[in-house]
Amino acid sequence: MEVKDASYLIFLIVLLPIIPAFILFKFLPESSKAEATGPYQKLKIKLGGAFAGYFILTLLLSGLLSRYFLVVPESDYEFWTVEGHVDLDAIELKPEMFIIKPPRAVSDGNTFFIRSVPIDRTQPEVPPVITLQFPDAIPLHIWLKEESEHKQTYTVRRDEKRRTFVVSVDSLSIVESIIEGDYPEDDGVEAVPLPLGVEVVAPDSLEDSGTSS
Amino acid sequence: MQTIRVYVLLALLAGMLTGVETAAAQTVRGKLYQEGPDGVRRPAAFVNVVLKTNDLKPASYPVATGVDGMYYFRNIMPGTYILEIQRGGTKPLLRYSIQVLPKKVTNIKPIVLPASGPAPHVP
Repeated sequence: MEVKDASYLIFLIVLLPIIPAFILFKFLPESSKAEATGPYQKLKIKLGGAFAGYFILTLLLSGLLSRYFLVVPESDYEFWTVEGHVDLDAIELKPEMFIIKPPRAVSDGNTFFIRSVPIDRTQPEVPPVITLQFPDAIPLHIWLKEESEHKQTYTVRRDEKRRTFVVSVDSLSIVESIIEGDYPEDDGVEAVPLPLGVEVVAPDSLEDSGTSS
Repeated sequence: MQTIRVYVLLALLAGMLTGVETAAAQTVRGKLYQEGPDGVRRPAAFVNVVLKTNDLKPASYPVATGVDGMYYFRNIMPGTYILEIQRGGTKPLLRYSIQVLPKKVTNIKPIVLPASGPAPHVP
């Protein structure tokens, strides 16, 4: 803070309150009939003269000022519930056989609920993701947005009134994603490191190959 | 001549029925480890992984590793791809060239991220 700014601050803190103090003591001396009595915050108050005026003025101003200056900033996040349904009977899986990240709060048979999922209002293009993990199956990542490229696997509906995402998962797609055999750590295709920022010249470019996950 | 044609057709049919691998869409899976400051490798959970074509166009939707560090891509055609490991949003941290084989499942050998690798990203 610069010296010039600090002098303004001193003026505000020290000199400014003198003005109402002068007015109060001028018009409400101790001998005046001004009086403030009654209960306040479980205390019995009995004040007189200038201090009674000061007390009442403080109460009035604090109410007014807090309304204008002490505004609680609105959070960037709002909390929604996720209500999901997987027809586990169709695929002979028990509800306890799958894991949800973040952990499910409540599960009722084929339906699961996740409470208080934070939704960033400032980044609607980055929806939160929940993951369903079934034994031996590829984890299913569910993007909590209505317009999805994965409609054959799951659908998401936004219920604005209940602040709830209603998720419905196609159980057949889970069966299709089951992989037989463990992941062999020592046997597989080598991933060859590439430098960043260098575009790779591709003799066998796979553009228009129609691949998807 | 006609007999030969019949034998060729039968051989092709037998090949199809016995599961000769064709250029159908595959599943690609691999695992990420994160090297800790103590030098111990642990599964790198919730790290964004993207599969791109060689000209850096998306070949699949981005995925995140599970708590076991595993990542999966479904319906990928055989060929050469770029596997991109991202930090936070979409900034690439590491790039690898991988070969997707004409098999039902292509396993990519585990990749170890350096100690200063991508910070865990909770979806």
